This record gives sequence, structure tokens and C-alpha cells, in this order.
Amino acid sequence: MNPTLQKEILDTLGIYDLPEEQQNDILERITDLVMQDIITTAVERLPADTIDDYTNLIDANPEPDAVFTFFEQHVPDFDTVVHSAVTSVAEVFRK
Amino acid sequence: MSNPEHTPSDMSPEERMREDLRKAADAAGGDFEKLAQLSKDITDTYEKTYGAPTTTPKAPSIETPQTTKPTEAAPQKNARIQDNFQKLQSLTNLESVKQQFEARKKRLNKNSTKEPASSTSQSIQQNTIHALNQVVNEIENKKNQLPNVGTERMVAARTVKDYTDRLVELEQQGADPVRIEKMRKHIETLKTMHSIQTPDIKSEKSTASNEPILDDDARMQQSKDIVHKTIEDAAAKALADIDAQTNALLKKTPDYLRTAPEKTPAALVAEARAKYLEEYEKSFKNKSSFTRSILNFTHASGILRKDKSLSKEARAAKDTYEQLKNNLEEDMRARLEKQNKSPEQIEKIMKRYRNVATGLEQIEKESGILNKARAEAFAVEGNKNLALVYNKTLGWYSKKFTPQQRKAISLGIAVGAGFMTGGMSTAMVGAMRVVGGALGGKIAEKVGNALWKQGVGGSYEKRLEQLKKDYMAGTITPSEYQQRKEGLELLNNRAEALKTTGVLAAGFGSAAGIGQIPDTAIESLFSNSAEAAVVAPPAPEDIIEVYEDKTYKGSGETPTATTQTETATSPATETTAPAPKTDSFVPANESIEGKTFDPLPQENAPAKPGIPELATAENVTLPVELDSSLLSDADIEQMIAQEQGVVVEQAPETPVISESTPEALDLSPEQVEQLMNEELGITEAPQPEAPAVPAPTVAPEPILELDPEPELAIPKENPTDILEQPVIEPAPEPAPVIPETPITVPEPSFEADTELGLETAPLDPQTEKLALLNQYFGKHDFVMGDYLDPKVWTPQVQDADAGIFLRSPQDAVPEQYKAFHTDLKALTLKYNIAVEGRRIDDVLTALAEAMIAEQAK
Repeated sequence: MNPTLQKEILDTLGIYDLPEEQQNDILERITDLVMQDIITTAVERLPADTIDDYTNLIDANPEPDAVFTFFEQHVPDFDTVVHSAVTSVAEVFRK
Repeated sequence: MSNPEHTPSDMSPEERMREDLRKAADAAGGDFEKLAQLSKDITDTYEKTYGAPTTTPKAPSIETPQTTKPTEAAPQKNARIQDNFQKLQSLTNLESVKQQFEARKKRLNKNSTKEPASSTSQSIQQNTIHALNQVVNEIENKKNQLPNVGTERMVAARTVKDYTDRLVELEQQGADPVRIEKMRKHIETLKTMHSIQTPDIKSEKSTASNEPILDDDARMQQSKDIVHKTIEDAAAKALADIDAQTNALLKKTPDYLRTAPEKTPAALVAEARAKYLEEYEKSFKNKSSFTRSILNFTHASGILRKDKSLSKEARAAKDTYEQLKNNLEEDMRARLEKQNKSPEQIEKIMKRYRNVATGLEQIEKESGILNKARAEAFAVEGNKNLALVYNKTLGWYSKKFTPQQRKAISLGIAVGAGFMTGGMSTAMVGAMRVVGGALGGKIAEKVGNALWKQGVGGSYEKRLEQLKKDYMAGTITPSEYQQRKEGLELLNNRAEALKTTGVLAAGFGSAAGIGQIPDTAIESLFSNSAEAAVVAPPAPEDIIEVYEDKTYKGSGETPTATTQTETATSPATETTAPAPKTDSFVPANESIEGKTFDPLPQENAPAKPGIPELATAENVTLPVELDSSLLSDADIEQMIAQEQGVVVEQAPETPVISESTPEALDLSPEQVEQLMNEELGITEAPQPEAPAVPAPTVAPEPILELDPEPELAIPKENPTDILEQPVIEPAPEPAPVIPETPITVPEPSFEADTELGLETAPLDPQTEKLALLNQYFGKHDFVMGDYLDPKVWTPQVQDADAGIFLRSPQDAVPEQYKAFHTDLKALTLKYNIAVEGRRIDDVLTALAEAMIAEQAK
């Protein structure tokens, strides 16, 4: 990534001055929290008739985009799921 | 010459020859040449008389020591050659060693100047350099000595050696003392001439003959020994110092680093945290959901300090985690100190880190418990299929996402979710998209859409309000306030762009992943990029919002705005008002009560030099005390003109729309639009009374009305406002109200367009240009203003200042304007008007002027 852009994001998150290891640690934790929340909530909300398709998809070790697309197509109100997953994490950085 | 007849008859020919040779040697005395000649004559005579002898009599080597080698000299010659070869080889080796040492010296000197070394390290370096210098000097000395050994001196030494050998032999044979004495003198002369030192000639043969060569060899070896010893000493000393330093460091190294050097402190902390969270979740496994929630809350909030509810394993894991975390923080602190950060800066950074880390940890705890609860619920409900899928999904996630992906995705999430104040340009999004792949962009898109729709992400006004409160509470200085406010404005501009450009990565299409985005697309984004963020056309609802908030109400960031005044003068309002969301700059828990504060800095204070052109109207409202670096050329020329006494008309009857003008804040959009139209010379109704404004004598370049130059004091935040106003429709009546470039225009010679009402002459330059442009482009069934509407352009064709660039007349042209663009391209080619990278209004102005100039001819 363009260093300037990355710096700007990290700076705005307030973690630019941290050592790189800590920066990466925080960034990876953000992803883990958000993604796992999205994925698990989405799985929970999958309609029963899509479980088999989803199982087949996961068994094929799909690219993340494919999983996300599946969720978009089948999980009701997926936007809200995403929103909910992100909001709590976002609050950490607003403090 | 000897004669065989004179030889005794009882002697054999060989014996007689020997006798003759002996006599000849006696006759020759010390004269070697004479002796050699006599010897040769006698031998030849006897060979002719008696034939070749069965054994060649041994010729005395002393006869021709330089030219005729004695038979026993062959191995000596080989030895000499070998010696010389070795000496030359030594010389080469020494040169090589010297070069190596010189190179090492350079490295050491370089290292010593690069970074401050410890005293021990410096000492090692100095000693080594000193030793190397000694070695190099010794080598130089050896080099200077070696050529003498190999040339004349060496030859002389060899001669001395041969003569000495012969002399010893003669002495043993009881030769003539006179002859022996002559030879001795000759040897001494050679030795004196070439400074050859040998033991007494009369001493033992072996000693006398080998001494000169052995002396050189010994000295050579001595040099080598010095070199080797110096190197070994320096190396040993360096190694000893390194060992000592290593041991000292090891003593200071925490156990966790010594036991697992391959893992970083952060990784160890992450491991410990994962272990702790795992144990933490287990502690709640057998408790009811209500109990778990309560305990989770109490642990997180610190109410339960002793963690009695935690299992033994969880407590141990927590202790380990806390210890490693403390070590990590110490490590971080040390690193920051090495970066010469001040204690205040370090404290601030550490505080931020602790806040973020603690916040994330709390969410991780909740998330972990929630996931456990989900898994249990699936199992309890008997939905084994779902439970299996759930576990499979978690497994897939843990295997599928690399750290690099997770990092990139988080950046996308951070932007899309509004972790940042506002948003970011599409260039940033594009960059993240490339790095993070489709998923990061898709999440960002989803998150961004959801949050922007609900107004969660932006919150610009709230953040600005908080910033003002912080300033007034004295928690930040005026300069910090100003700087942060400008940062907020900058980000808000990006947020506006974000709102309307399909939100983050959406512009690249959901199918786009790594490598699927054309390089040119990314490059074009970057070319616009972080310095000049792409400003996109706002969506209709956003236009209204921006129109109201930004242009006429000071966009909320203006301290002179109503909300600001109230906040500043009414502390009660602050305490009773709902707490705004805190921004990332100031900790939320800092109280502002009871603190005094200075008045807010003037809103139109000069912007920080580092803040780019995206800053707002403050930049274009030009107070006298502004830094000249912030002034445009036109501004400067205008000021010069004023100093020179030239009156520059400012169209006093035309109100200037400015945020810093309180009256302007009360204007309705319609009023402002009308004023802007008047300002721009675009009037709906005829204005016969509007006098032509005297042309200013200083006007650097023709400016079309739509050019948002500073004189107009139009806020730049909303490009739409600027671009929508300057409709290049010809005014029904010429109404020149803006001072314009004093272009002397001849009477228009073209056919006036009666439909446009342009038959009234003379026309002012601007009107003339517009009319001319319409003459050429009016056939296209659209209004020029529509064409200039940024909404019809892709972001790439626009610039941050809301101008429309023409990278190429055919570049990214909306379908309905392609015909127009074809004509435009033809005309710009015809009149040799450059279009690359220019704003459309500049191009049109230049085109019109070229046309007018041509008609004037």
C-alpha cells in the first residue's frame, strides 16, 4: 500500500506512532473481531434451505469474496449484520 | 699457451691436461677471464690431440662465475628461482592483505561515523584501526625492501656466495695463498658495494652460504607473523568484547525473550492473550447467560478485581498475559525513547495504545463468549448441521486469512466504518482494494453504505463540536485546535466524496480482487490522490445537506456560527447537552468543567502551510495579514496594484458571499444564488442600469466567471455550488458586472445570434466570449451549465477544486456530450489550444479568445 495512505489511516486511528508490531497486532485484531462477528452472525441467520449450499461452499475452501457474496444473497438484512459488527469496534477508536 | 710436448711422458693425457690447467690457473692468478681463456685453450688442444675425454674434467667454477655455471650450480639455480618466485608471491600476497586491511579500515571508519557506538565498541574499532595501520605500514616497508633483494643485490649476493664456496674449496685444496687472497678481496669488494652482510668467510660453509637469503626469508616471515598476529589479536579482542556485550545483554533480557527468541514480544503477548481469552471463556461455560453477562461486565469494568469467578487456569493465564503485556509496554516505551520522543509524547502514545488495546480486549471477551454461546445454542437446539457449519466456517476463516490480508481488510474496515473522522478518497480505497483484495473493499463498501446511511460514520459536526469544547476547556492549545479543525475539514471533504462515489471500493466492482484492477485505473486514482482528493458529485440529498450546512451556515466548523457562539458562552448548555461522540484526538473521560479557556482563534486565520488546497473558504478569504504564500498570483498582483494606487474595483454593490460574513449566513439559498448570478454576470432579468465596470488595469489573466478564484470568496467545500452557478448561457442582456480583463475587443464581426439576444453591441468581453462559444456549441441540445455539472462526470475527470479537467476531450465523456466533445476537440486543434490537464472553463476561455483574436484579424 502506498505509505502515505497507510500512514494517514494509521494516524487517524491514533496508532501511527506505535511500533509496527503493535500496529499490525491491532489491525489484525480489528479484522478478526469484525470478520468473525459478521461470519458467525451470518451463519446463524442463514435460512435453513441454504445451509447445504453454504456447507458445500465452505468445503471448497472458497475465496473470502465468494463467501461474502453468498451472505449478501442469502442472509436477511446483511447490511445490519455488518453494521453491528463494526460499530462496537469503531467505538474503540473514537475514544 | 701450454704445449702437450712439454708434459712428462709418464703422465696420461688427462693427467697432463689437468697439470696444464693447474699451471694455467697459477699463471692467471686472480684474473678470472685469463684463467677461463687458458682453460678453454688447454681443453680444446687436448681434445683435438686425444679426442674427447671420457669424463670431462671439472672446470673450475671460479673461471666464469657470471656466465658459466658450475655443474653443481643447477640445483642452486632452481632453488634461487624458487626463492625469487616465493618472494614475488609473498609480495603479491602482502598487497592483497593490505587491500583487505584498507577495505576493513574504511568499513570501520564508516561504521564509527554512522552511529554512535558504545565506548567498548569504539575502543575495539580504534584498536583495530591502529593495528591495521601498523600492518599496512609494515607491508609498505617490506614492499620497499623486496625489489633490492630481487635485482642487483640479489645477484651480488649470489656471486658472493659462489665465490665464497669456491674460496673455501680452494683453501681446503691448499691452493695458492695469493690467489686465495685475491679472491677474498674480490668477495669483500662485492659485499661492500652491495651492503651484503655475511658471517666471516672463514666460518662454516653452510652458515656462510645461506645467511643472506635466510635473512630475507626470515624478515619476510617476520612480516607475515606480524600481520597474522595483529589480525589474530584484533579479532580475539573484538570477539572477547562481543562476547562480553552479548553476555551483558543476555543478563538484561527478560526470560521470555531468552527462552523464545524467535517470537516477538507482540507475538508472545498475542499468544498469551489468546490463551487467556480461551480460559476466560471456559470459566463461563457452565454459567447461565445472565451470570456470564454480569461477570463479563464486572471483569471488564474492573469491579471484580480479584477475579474470583475465574477458574484457576484462567487466572494463571491472565497473570501471564498481564506480565507479558507489561513487558511489551516497557519494550515499546524503550523504543519510543530511542526515537527521541519526549516523555509527554510517549505518555500520549502509550495511553492511546492502552485505550485501544483494552477496548479491543473487552470486545474480544464479549465476542468469545458470544461465539461460545452460539455454539452451545446450536448444540442445545440439536441443530448439529448448523453447529458443524459454524465450526467449519471458523476453521475456514482461521486458515484462509493471512496476516497481510487481515491488516489490509482492517484498513478498509477502518475507513468504511468511519473509524476515521470522515472517510477517504477513492484513491485510498483503490489502494486498499488492491492490497486487501475484494473482501476488504466489499466490507468497506457494506460498512460504509450502512454507516453513512445512518449517519454514524461521518459525525463531522459532532467531532467539530467536541473539538471546540476541548479547546475551550483548555485541553488543547489554539494552534492544536486550528490544526485539528483543518484536519477535520480535510477529512470531511473526503467524507463528502466518499458519500457519493459509491462508497469506497464499490467503484471497482465487487468482483475486483488483487490484480484484477487495471493498473491505469489505480494510477489515475493515485494521480489525483491523497494530496488532491477526488471530490465527487454529491447525491441529491447530500447536495441539499451540504448546501445548507456548508455554504450558508458555515458548515458547522465556523466558530462564528450560532452553535459555536452558544457553546462558547453557555457552559450550562454543554453540561446539559447530550454528550457528543468523542473523537480520536481527545480521551473521552477528560472533564472540561471548571477550566478556563481562551477565545477561539479567528476562523479566517491563515491555514497551516501543510494543509492542502482542500481547506475551505478560509483560504480564499484574504485578510491583509495573510501569509503571502497563501495568496494566489492574482491576489498578489491585486495587492501590488493597490499599493501602486491603482484602484481595483471590487464591485462594491455585489455582496461577497463568505462564511466570515455574518450577514451571509442569513441569506436564503435563493438570495445567494441571485447574488452569485449577479456576481457572475448572469442575470435573469435585463439590467440596463448596470454600468459597465471600469476595467481594472491589473488583471493577470482572463477568468471566466466559473473560475472559483479567491476574489469571489466562494467556499470551496461544495464544488457543486460553484460549478452549478456559472451557466455559460448567454445572458439575455449584456450585464457586465464583474471587473474583467481589459481585453480590447474590436467590434464583434460575427453574426449575432438574435435568438440569444446578442445583437446589441458592443458586447463586453465575457459576453462576447459566451456568445461566441454558443455560436459554435449552441447547436448541441444541452445547456452548457448541465455540461459543467460535476454530477455527469466521473470523479477522475474532476479535480479537488471542483473544476473539470480535460485530460483528453474524448476521455470519459458522458454519452450525451460526445458530439460536443468532438466539436470541442476539432476547435481546440484548429486554434492550437492545449487541453491536457486543463479545466474545461480555461479551455473554453482560451478557445473563445483565440476565436476573437482571429476575427479581429
